[in-house]
Amino acid sequence: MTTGSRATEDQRRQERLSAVLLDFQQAWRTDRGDRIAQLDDVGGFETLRNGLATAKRESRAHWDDQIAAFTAHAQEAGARVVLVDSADAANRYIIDLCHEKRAELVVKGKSMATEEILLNDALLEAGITPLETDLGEWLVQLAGDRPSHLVMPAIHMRRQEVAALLERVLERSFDPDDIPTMVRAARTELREDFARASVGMTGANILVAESGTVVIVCNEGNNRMSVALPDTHIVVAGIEKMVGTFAEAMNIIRLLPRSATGQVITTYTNFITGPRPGQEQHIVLIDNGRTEMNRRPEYADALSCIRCGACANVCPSFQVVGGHRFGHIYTGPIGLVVTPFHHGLEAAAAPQELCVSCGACTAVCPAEIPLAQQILQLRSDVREQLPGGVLRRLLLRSFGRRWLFAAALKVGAVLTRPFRRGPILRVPITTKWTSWRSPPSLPMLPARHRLRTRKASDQHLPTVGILLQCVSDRVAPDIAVAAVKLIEAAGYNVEIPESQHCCGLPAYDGGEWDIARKMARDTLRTFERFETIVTPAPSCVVAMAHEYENLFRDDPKWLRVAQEVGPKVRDLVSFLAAQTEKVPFSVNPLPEPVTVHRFCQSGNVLGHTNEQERLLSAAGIQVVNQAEPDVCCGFGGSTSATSPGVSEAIAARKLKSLEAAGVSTVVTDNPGCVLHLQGVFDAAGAEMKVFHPAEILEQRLSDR
Amino acid sequence: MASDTTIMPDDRWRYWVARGDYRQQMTAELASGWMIDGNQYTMRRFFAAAVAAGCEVEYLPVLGIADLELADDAVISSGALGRYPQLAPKAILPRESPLMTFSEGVVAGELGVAETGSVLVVENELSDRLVSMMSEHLTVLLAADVIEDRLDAATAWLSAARPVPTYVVLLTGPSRTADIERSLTIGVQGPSTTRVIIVEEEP
Ligand code: SF4
Repeated sequence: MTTGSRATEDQRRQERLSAVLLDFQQAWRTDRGDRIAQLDDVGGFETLRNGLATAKRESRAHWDDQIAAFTAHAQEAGARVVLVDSADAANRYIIDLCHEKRAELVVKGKSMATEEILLNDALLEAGITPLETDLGEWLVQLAGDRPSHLVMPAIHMRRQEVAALLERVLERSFDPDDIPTMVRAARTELREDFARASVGMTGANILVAESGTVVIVCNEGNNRMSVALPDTHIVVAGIEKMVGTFAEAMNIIRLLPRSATGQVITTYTNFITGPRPGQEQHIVLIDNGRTEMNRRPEYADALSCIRCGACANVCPSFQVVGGHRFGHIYTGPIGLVVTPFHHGLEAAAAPQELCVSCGACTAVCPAEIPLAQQILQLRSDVREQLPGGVLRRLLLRSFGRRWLFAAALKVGAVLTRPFRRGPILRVPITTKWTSWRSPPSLPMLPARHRLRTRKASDQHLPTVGILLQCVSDRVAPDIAVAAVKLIEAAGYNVEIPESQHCCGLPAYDGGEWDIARKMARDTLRTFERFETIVTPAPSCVVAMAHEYENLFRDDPKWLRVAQEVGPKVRDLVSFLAAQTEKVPFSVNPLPEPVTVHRFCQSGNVLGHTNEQERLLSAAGIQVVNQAEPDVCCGFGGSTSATSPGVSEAIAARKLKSLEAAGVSTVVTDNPGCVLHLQGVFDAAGAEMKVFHPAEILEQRLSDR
Repeated sequence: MASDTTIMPDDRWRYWVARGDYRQQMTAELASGWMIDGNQYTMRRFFAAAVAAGCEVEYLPVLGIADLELADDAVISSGALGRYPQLAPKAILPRESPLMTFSEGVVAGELGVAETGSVLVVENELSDRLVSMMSEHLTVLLAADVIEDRLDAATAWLSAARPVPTYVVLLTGPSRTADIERSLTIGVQGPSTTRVIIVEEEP
């Protein structure tokens, strides 16, 4: 095969996979949503997940004690428990045991922990055959492949591939459309192996310290056989699976299947306390970097993970590339975070670039893990500890200087003037950044200059300091100008401090935290004196009210300032939505409806719901829903710079969702997303106009 | 919403179920939103959840051996036999060979959970586990008076059991997978049908 045709074949595979994952994500979202809603009967999702996080944190605070209690109780029940600190030590123990039992075949239930320590490879080297018995894992193993999802290991395989694979292995033909027959074949095939194996191995979903119980959930029944049939049962589990009590375990059981497969409960929830009569049970508890992770407060919460895979199921980048690229052995957002501790920082370096920082993972995680923040922390670690990125640093550093940025944009505006077509720049060169997203045109005058000439407002009115935001000040000034007019119309005196530039979010998202800190300090200094700070960009609110605390974690002086200023910052939309009655909107309804896109972090981080919709309807504008309102537009984080192809695919998904609304105007609350979507629609030749709510609402002021 | 649906008290409803007409009635009741009323309809919540999980659910005022319509080679767990001695003439305990596949098996539950439609079964011995693992069709007997509303009842059961039995399983519906193209397929390593029979009488 030539390289060319291989490239297209890979591309085709990739596209098919994205399509499968898209279907899956959409179906899962509905199922999970329904099942999570049922939890209102028992306290509600937020309470339950907080309970889970608290129990796990509590467990980690007394890890040694809990491990000791678990060990004592399990041994009382007849099990043997060992605690090992590395993958090697775990593998050695298991191999020795298998040799002692003269085991040639080990039947395995699904276990990520054994994947983590690369146990199968080690067993094979020692002349022992590990056999995966979970259907998906079995298929992946037969194909010589790797699992691509925490819960759905073979989601990347098509039924045709499965049929061909089984045909090769079982030497009879299979109809790809007859899935039950293929499943049946696996059953028949594996039964004999179950009967033959002298060692069975499983993971654990939960370890209960109060009783020494191992909890395993499964749907197929293969885990039960691996536990029960062989004369030796080995459990391999990370120490983070520990909880204190059955009540805490049951809380996890309420959350895990709902988050994993959208089921109320799995077919089997097994509570195993010691071996059955006539059996030996060994429980191998592995540390392998976990204690180290627990010492790092910025990452420790990732140890609460229950491996449900929900974070991957809402991740827009994961949908595009799949688990083989998005992760190392542990896939999905959580995979990015834990990989450095189990498999080294280098292993996480490439996949972490794919995170768009939309925060969907954090919002959906049943263990309340701040994944999006942890991934940015990881990005910063990568930047600090691994070489490279000179150009990026240079660019961000120059961007950090207000005068330089202003001058560069000025020059850019003059040079690109001939190519301006409304809000879009029609440059004659195409790059991988612009082929799918036309760049915005650059204005001759930034918003701050245009706003100098407006008439002074009444000094007795309450004062608001406005953070124009770098983008809407210098690239999309109509937004900033409209924002100021709206705030004034609502009865405020607006001040525009001249020393403002950018909150530092681009550098923060890019992992260059030193540069981000400098920009953050400048921004805090500028706005410290205001009681209320409003910005048309919710992304800046995310930065100032949430991320600054993270940036200044080790700097008490600036941490204090950040904590003082953070709560005073509001985004324009929620600021106005809370007082629509004060804004003098025209009473004539606008005939043309719009559809709304909510900036992903507005929902996922700031907890906004229908603020834009409320505000727009207060101004007489009708809103039509889009299909996937909660999915990121693809602009997020630094991904559209570092992995434009991924960003492009996410944007295409968004485009479809927005077009399906059947209207020609999109309103979205973050200026960056406005420019991004404008460019995407333009490059796709779609007749869609994109506005920030401020631009539309300003047109609706009655006294314009 | 069908607002004209009568929500029958549990005992009259049991009569309906015994007549085998519960599905229609339950569907109508579900549509009318009776579940919102909380736990005064525990048994019916159990029905709904177990059916949703893919179980067949039946109700018997008295357990007669003939009612089960068991095949001649059906295997019965020691737990089921202990609780329902009337099964004795039928009792075939499985031999401990993992290669065995049984067409039919019977186990008995300690507890039913309406929240999830699950039955808690204790299976310490291998032979008991074989019944629920290796039977193509599984029948789970459950006394009406041990059906509780919430999973918390299972927590309480486990917490109170000292020592904790070696092997406790919350069993919910037939074995299943969606590993090939997410297509739901019933009956992988375990049973392909699961029938829960709620038995009213005190054994
Ligand atoms: S991080 Fe959260 S969402 Fe992701 S697998 Fe773990 S528990 Fe599930």
